[in-house]
Amino acid sequence: MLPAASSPSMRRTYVLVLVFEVLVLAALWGVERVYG
Amino acid sequence: MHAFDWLIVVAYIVWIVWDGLRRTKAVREVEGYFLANRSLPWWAVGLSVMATQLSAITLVGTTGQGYADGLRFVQFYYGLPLAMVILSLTLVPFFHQARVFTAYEYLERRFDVRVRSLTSFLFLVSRSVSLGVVISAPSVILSIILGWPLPMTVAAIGGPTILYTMFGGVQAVTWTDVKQMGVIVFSVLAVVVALVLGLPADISLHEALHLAGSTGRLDAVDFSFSFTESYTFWSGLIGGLFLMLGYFGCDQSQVQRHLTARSIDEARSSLMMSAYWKIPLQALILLTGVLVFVFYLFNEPPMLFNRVHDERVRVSERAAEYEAVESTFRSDFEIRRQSARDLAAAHRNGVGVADAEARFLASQAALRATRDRAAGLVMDVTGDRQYTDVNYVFPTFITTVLPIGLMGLMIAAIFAAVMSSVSSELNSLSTATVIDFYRRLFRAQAPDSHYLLISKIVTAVWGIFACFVATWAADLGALIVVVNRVGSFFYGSILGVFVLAIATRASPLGALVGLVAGMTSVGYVGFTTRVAFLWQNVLGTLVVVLVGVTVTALTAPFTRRAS
Repeated sequence: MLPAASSPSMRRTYVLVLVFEVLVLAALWGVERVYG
Repeated sequence: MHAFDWLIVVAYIVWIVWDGLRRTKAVREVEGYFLANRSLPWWAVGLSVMATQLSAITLVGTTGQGYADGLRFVQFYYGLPLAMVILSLTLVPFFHQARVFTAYEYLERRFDVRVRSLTSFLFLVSRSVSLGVVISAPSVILSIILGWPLPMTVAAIGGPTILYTMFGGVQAVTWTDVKQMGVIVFSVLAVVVALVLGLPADISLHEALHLAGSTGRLDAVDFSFSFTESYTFWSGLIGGLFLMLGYFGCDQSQVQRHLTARSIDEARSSLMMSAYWKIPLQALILLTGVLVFVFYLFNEPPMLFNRVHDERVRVSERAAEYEAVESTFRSDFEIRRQSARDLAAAHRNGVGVADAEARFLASQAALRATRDRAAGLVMDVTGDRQYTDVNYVFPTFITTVLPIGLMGLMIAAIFAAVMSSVSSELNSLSTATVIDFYRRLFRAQAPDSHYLLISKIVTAVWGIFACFVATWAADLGALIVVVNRVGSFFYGSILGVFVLAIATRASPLGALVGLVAGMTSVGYVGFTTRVAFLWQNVLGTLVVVLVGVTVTALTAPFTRRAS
């Protein structure tokens, strides 16, 4: 049995989640650089 | 605590119990009790997923970690968003299409009943003990802070939670989780605002962050690669990925959350909520601890936050020594307060920052050394070698500094954090017991009303068991730590079994041997080396998959001959 494929909007959400994570990590790293 | 604060706490508990119990009307069959007839919206499931993971240990312990160590711990969660995407593509649709009640039920369809029973049994053992710890940790702290006997705090937390979970089932669990998550987030935000507004008039937030940053408390990305360092970017991203895949994909307490969603896409969306918000929320909770550290730069903190042994040390033969350390601590604090002001002024004026920072860090080190001496004295006098006060920082701050109203709200948030985790875990323990054992192995044919009644009884029994464990956990000490640690050996290994199930042609024997080999190797590494916990999850998964595939290949000729 193959898993049900994700809809196009779901696939867009996956990409957005990963982009958002990169931005959050960049923000945390930025705080560390500015104040650390 | 002021009467108004008590009123808030009592109102919170009454509200949650009432809200949980009114869901009882909607529960008429087992599928409704355990899975809400697979009818819940993604946002409610998503908040329930987050509330289940966020226990009082997270709320109280993490703020303490933020105070002592800064943002470093946030790296633990770096693998979470990727794990959620992978689960949405793989296990989530498998579980929903299979229309299972438990994750382990799926393993019987793919392998056999032995694999299902063993994995479900491992879940029951590890989750029931960890549930006791989840109740015990905040109960011990609240009993010391509020001056209540431990059984009373355990009953105050466990009693109402068992009541609404037992009668309302997963509907009660989810809808109370939604409200509890709201209480937690609102309270934490309110405390952050109070901390920022509470900065001394001449210290801006920008300068406060410089003070915290100079001690390394804003370091949140450590790119060094080490198998022994607990929290680095790589251990969080890779080890954390495997841990989160195991926790959200194979642990019934989380799988049951997304099984209640209306559709596969709603289940996926519920996981995406954690993928988006878990790291920012965790960073916010840690930042709260960092701001508490800044607060205590300008307001004298207690020398030790955990005062449980205070009286005993004060009447011991080393009382004079303890008082001398206290006096040194006070003068160390005054020096640090002044050097913190000097450093803030240096940042404001842009002059002499390096010198002021060196003086501030030296005063911080001196104060820390004095605190360590005090803790050493407590350990010598009481013989309590496990003594620590990190988990007492935030409760002490709540009960001694926060204004009336906010204090009650924050205590209610601690109750919310523990109750939301306990209710989900109780519900999942009951599901695994009834579906994987009682209905599968002991009584396969019975009316739905019979299983519903048994499910409610089993929920209550697990709840009472967890409360007993919680009451005795403090005395069991090292034993509980060992049992909890052994429980953590299962995550990577059980994930390995699910990988074998969906990605290979492994046989039931291969899965069983692989599972035992995985847990044994993680146990060996865990007890004999200093390899960090997060990496052990990777090891467990890889060993299970490699051994499982190898055993399947080696036994294939015999299996074919037999069939």
